[in-house]
Amino acid sequence: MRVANESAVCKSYDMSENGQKKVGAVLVQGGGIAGVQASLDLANSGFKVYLVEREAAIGGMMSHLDKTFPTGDCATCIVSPKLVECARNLNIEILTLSELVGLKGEPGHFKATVKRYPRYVDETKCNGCSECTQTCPVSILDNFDRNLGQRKAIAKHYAQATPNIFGILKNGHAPCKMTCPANVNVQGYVQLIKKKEYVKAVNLIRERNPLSAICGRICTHPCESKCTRSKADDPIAIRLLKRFASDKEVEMLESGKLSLPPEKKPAPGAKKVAVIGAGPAGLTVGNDLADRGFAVTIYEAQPAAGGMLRYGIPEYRLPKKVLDHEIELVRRKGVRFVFNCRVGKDISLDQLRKSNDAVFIGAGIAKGRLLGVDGENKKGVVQGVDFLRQAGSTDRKPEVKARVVVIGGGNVAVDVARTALRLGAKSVEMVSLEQRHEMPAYPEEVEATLQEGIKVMNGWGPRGILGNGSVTGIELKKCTRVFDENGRFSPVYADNERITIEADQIITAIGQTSDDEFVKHIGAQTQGRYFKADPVTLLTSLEGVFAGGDAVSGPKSVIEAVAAGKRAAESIERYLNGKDLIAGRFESTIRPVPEELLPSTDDVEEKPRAKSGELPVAERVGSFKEVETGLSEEGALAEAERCLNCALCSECKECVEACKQNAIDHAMGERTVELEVGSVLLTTGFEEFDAGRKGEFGWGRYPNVLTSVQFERMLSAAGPFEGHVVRLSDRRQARKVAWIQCVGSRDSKCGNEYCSSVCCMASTKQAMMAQDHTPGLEATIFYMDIRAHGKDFDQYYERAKNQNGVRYIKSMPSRIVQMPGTMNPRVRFVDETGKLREEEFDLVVLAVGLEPSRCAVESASRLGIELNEYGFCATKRSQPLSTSRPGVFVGGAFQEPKDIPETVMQASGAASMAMELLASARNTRTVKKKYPDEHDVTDEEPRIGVFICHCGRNIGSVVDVEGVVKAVEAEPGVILATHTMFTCSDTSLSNIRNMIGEYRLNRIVVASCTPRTHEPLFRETMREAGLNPYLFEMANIRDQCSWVHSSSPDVATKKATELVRMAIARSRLLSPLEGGTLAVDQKGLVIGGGLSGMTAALALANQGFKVHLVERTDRLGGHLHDIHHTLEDVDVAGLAANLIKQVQEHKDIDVYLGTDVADVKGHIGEFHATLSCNGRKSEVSAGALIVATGADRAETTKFLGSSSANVMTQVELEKCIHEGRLPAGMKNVVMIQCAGSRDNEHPYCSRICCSMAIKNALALKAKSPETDVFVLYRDIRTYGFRELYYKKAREAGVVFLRYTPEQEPVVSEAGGLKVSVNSPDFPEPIEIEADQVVLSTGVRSDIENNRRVSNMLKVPLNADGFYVEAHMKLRPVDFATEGIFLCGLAHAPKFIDESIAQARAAAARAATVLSKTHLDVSPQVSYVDQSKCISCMTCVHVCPYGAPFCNTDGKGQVEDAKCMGCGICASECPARAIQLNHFATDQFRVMIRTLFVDGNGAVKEKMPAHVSR
Amino acid sequence: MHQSTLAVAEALGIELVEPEGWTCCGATAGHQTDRVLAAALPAATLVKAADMGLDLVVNCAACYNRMKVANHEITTNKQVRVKVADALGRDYDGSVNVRHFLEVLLDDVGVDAIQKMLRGSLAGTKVASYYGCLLVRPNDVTGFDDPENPTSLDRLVHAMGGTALDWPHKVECCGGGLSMSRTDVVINLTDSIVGMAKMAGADCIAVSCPMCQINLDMRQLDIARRQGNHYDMPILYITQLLGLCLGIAPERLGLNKLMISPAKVVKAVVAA
Repeated sequence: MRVANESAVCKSYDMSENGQKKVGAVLVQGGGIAGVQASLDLANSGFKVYLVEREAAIGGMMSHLDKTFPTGDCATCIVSPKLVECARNLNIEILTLSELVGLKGEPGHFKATVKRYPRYVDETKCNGCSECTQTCPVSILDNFDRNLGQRKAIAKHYAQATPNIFGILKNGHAPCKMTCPANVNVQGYVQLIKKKEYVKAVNLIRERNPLSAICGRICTHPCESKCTRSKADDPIAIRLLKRFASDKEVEMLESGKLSLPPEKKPAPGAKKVAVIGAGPAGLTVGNDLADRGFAVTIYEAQPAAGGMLRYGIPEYRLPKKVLDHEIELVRRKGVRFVFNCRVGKDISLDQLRKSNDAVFIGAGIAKGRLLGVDGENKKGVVQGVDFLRQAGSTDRKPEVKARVVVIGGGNVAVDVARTALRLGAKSVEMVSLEQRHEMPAYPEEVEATLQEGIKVMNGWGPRGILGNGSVTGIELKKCTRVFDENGRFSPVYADNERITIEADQIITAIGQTSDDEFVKHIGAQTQGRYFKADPVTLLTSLEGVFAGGDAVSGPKSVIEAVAAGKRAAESIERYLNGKDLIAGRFESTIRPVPEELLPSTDDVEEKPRAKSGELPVAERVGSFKEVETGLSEEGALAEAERCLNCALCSECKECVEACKQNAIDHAMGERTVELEVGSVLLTTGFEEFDAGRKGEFGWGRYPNVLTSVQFERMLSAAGPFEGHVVRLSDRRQARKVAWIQCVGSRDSKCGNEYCSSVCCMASTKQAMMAQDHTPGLEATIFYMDIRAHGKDFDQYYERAKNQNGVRYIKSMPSRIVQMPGTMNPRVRFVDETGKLREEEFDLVVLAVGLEPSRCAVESASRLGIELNEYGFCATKRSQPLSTSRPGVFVGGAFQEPKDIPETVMQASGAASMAMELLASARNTRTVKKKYPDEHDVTDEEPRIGVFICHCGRNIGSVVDVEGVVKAVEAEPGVILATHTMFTCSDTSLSNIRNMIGEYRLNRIVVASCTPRTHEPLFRETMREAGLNPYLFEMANIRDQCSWVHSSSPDVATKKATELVRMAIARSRLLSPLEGGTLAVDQKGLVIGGGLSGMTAALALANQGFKVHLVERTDRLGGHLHDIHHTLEDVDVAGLAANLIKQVQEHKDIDVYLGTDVADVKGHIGEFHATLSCNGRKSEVSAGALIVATGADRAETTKFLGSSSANVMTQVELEKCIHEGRLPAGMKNVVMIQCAGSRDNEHPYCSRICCSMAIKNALALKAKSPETDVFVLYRDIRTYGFRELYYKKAREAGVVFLRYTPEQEPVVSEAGGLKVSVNSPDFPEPIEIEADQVVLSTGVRSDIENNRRVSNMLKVPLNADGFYVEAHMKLRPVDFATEGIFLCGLAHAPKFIDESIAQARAAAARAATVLSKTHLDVSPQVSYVDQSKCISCMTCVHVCPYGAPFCNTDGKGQVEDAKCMGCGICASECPARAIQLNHFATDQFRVMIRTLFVDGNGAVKEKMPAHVSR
Repeated sequence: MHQSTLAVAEALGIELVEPEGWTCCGATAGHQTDRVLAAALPAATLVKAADMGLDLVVNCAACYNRMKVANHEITTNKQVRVKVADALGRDYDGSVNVRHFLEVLLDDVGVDAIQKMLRGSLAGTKVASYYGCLLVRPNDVTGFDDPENPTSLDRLVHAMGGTALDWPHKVECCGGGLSMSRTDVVINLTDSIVGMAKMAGADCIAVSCPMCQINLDMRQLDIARRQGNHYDMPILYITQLLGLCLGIAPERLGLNKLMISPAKVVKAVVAA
């Protein structure tokens, strides 16, 4: 593998290799927590960041989680502020729905190509108001909730999404729309009908088809044939829905609720178009061109418009009223009709061409075809089309005889027959060549014909017409076959089989043809009997003459004529406006939904298709009343509900109307942008394993089997079940839940042999949370090894097991079956005694493994980044942050499955790699935020704005938020009191800013969550609105109210009211404070010269910062000297030598060996350290500190440790192996894991010992294959890719024997070294005669030194003596004390690669301080009233930060820069001479007074119940 | 089973040719004894089919599995192929297409064609389709349907007008060849399968393997005696069920040989 040498990349040159100046910008691909952290670090240290995210919002997988382990934090609550910080950082540009697709150039100077997918919502205009979502009729499965819930087609990615803007999901155009010849947006109008927006539905139809009501009756509805719903039951009754909406329009017109559009006239001078024929094609052309401002005249040979619609389709199918209505709408657009004008007779084409700019021929074909048999010219033989034409005209109804025979089996024949019956024929018979099932007429039409008493003779053809002059009958011959093998019309007759039937009238309807005379007159080129026109543009051979409809295509349906009209109109408009006739036509803008994205019909509940009402048969005959009566409203609404929304968004455009910002743009397309960046970070994270690949667990088939991500969504208060743990089959509360671990991990069968690292703890957390949500819930976790290898994880696992009673079963279940009836999943597994067991649960959760996201894999391959065999980014353990491409770095789960803290560390670490590469370009691409001038409020009365937060359901489901608003709105000074769903959302914040301006507010009170996470955000908002940030006050009505009183909403509401009243009272007394600035000493001090310390020092020095590196011992390198190789065979000695050399030779690193840090004074930006070397003291200064003091090897006296020569530790063994000092011919070597770990004394897991044992076991086996190596273990914790070596060890014959802490192995020496162990996996005790016992003793903290340093730096230690970071999940390298950072073993046990990543992370975090010349100092500090000070010096003694001192007057004084604003001095001062800014005594007094004293100054008689309890 | 297959094939116009001198596939005993033998025994019959230039149609899931595995072994492992050639006295390349009769019914004849020929219907009858383990596993060798939730037999049942139950024990093991040697194991396994079908509301179980048929059918008496569970569940081989619906007389379908009387199924087949 080619990996860029990290140290080489780190050398910062001003120029990249080709001499171009480096670019001070970084592209971060992947907006999960890793990308967010890296972006913040980079932006806060002087780099421009492009944060590129594939989804519609940043937040990644963390935003899907309910809580985090082991801290129990709400994942959203802790990640949200970071996301908002990202969004607010001027130097971070978030590109959502985007993907890095190309990268050219070299480190320091890349050109990145980013593809941006359409959101269909303008990000700059959307204000997150949600009006669009409320109006959107389309509900689809929500992938954010992993299909447990639904979302609208337009929605936010998730409730707290950053950026807080909406987006539309589309995946093409639905099959119905694609199939419709005119591409009418079927899904769109069906959705509008669902919303009862009938007029809008009709208008949407008319965008593509002006004949909505007409087609609602007679359309051949090809759309229905492709309806996806038909895979489940029956297609949507689309035609009937169209008719229903159209009828509603008419109904509203008739009742006066709607009026006809005003009549329009074309503008004078408008270009002129002549249309020949007022049939559907001509009407459509007229309609469309009038819409576009042209002057259209339609020439029609008949006395009225409609063509075959009027003169071919009988009244009982299409009432003339309906036809007239839609023609009238076309006329009102300004279309002029000239009737009784036959082109070629009354007017010539030349005349039309002369007086118009373009001509459209939509003349149709109205001539009936001849039978070609004897007697066809006899009296009483009539052409069907002529017959229908007469029937359709108002003045001359055709003559009908008593016995009518109709020849033909198509729709026209049916129409003729049914019309004849209605006009008084006594009997009507149809003669059809085809058999019933072959008849071209629609089956339902034939059915109706039969119902009405018409006889159909199938399989007969006419042979001759009988009669002398007048018809008396017809002779028929048997037709034996109509179509040939290829389906072509090629009838074969049995001439000897004949019959004769009597008839007075014979009407032939065997097809239509064009009018030869007319075709000849036009003189355009023809194809057969029809005009030849370009298939795309419909241009004929004549300049400016277009043609379409039946005249071109031969007989087709109405909708095809309309489609031709649309096409021609577009061409004519292009032609007349001088545009290209082809490029970018409508047809090229639509694309079908890919087959695989069509909605699944597996779970669709069968619902019957709506049926139209019909006129009873008795009323039909002799009447032309419409037979079909359409759908009822109820039926139509139910039918519209059946639509599956194939295309997701239906493009009904309701959102366009709802959006007040005009932010919605349905025409948005994909774009590509080029970005200039110096470096690229890949933080694309992971996707969960597709549980469907493990069919034996029935996920996707059994409703009560969920994945762990689905379960997170179920637990989430903001999820589809609002935190209720329920079964999907019956929505009943689940009481017995099982988790199955390693689904898609540690499984070679599915190709994922690695361990996903996080699932054991995640399931443990989910089990405890589920118990929390459903008291008494029984939780069972099926596991292979519990991998609780993180800091404080084992304690959490023990708590789950021992306190919460979570049942852990060491077994990999083989199968789940769903029990009939109860639908309980039944889990089959082998229990610890080897017995096959089956147990039923209410719900089973599959702990699915982590896989690299498919997009990331594709993208990485495009960028030439090497991947490992599982698709993760290939890295080396010695260079965990470097990809195979120089200048491109990686962090987070894309590198290896990992938990949040390691992800955050790697993210900061990767940021440090980019900082080193681009150090010379720092601050070249960044901008600074400018705040408006602060508004002076000193002389103003308080004008308070109160914002009370629902925090989703966190507060809102307990506290009556609106009630609290009402209760406090009359408090003195309150100008505005209101409530918000999420006060911290971007929209709410901008709303606060607006309100400040609008109401001239000068105090803001927010009642929501905790100031710890959110106060900075609100203060920032104040500054942006021109108010001093200290005029802000916050009441915590969540953590300290709704959460703790969740079972008593009334009490909680009262308490919230009191808390808000107190906050309001205090806010009246707030005054503006001004902070100073403080110069930064741009040097770093690193304590500890091991791997972490050296790495951190180099990372800083390579960025150009001077570094003091202080090491207690006489040499650099720490434990690196004891490690000879790693599992993966990293040359540790080489790594150590290289690092030491670089450190020693670096011009910016001063190394102090044999030196202790004796004392540290000062504060962020300016620390002064006293170094002590052999009693000699010296002083150094630094702006930031990094603690990398490491840890020690643990030792134990257990298992004869330290008392037997044949018992050694793993470290000693490694040394022996390395030095070749092991005796030859050893038979048995026994390793004992957790020797002195994971017990009461040493309760944590040392993380590295399992891998270390396997490493040594493999080395032993390699050297001496005959030696049997036994590893006695409790859980093997080879997480991530280390798992592969566990497998390797087993394959190499290493024997792994499990033991339990209750029955630890016994090592005895009497009579030879022996180890006996009672394994729960074997019935009998096992005794091994051992040549050597090796103890995995693990890591212990250097507690003495750590205590000393922790006191000196005022940073905390945990119970195990490791340093405690500021926040376990999201601030893993920070201390709570600013300017001091942490890395390496001093933090917790970890591997080399993890130490390297964390050390670089510490450097990146320190660089956010050191890169600045000045820092802002908080004005929230103590000050001493010199007149009251009695010089007792209490303050000097009590301050933990050493801020107060005795000044030259002998009085106490506080140094602002050191003061952390904790207030201890103020509370201890006996003379009350000290006040803490912003926490002044009177401010507290007024709060207490508000709580206990009523309006009249009297103390409330009784304390409120919620206070006294 | 044999009878009913022949009868159904005749009714559907399928010509079945019996390879002359076919031999036992070796069954469980063979493949537990020797890897080469396990391939060579089926190969002895397969090579005959190869000579005839026909597909080999099998209607026992176990034989089907052995044939498929033999083909797989021979095509993927050169050594096995050489040794099999040694044993047979000639080379066989593993290319004969081995097909279960159910596949022939569904893929060659097709549901539509079968439907047109039906004279009776299973309307109102709930059928639990049972595939057993050997048809579907190992799936990369047999390639038969979805190994966890196969539906081919269900499609046939559906075509016959019956209700195909979605029940969870479609691919459980019935104990196969242990019927005689470890009756206790088979009784436990079949008890669980027939019991589950009963619980799911099945009127009968349709099987695609004669061995499964025997185990599920014959062992119900033992189940009743030893476990006290009385199921009285008719177990019909697919061609027996299909034969009924094609209007073939029950006596030509070997229904009289079943231990649990299929009378209620026979009665339930209504004239279409």
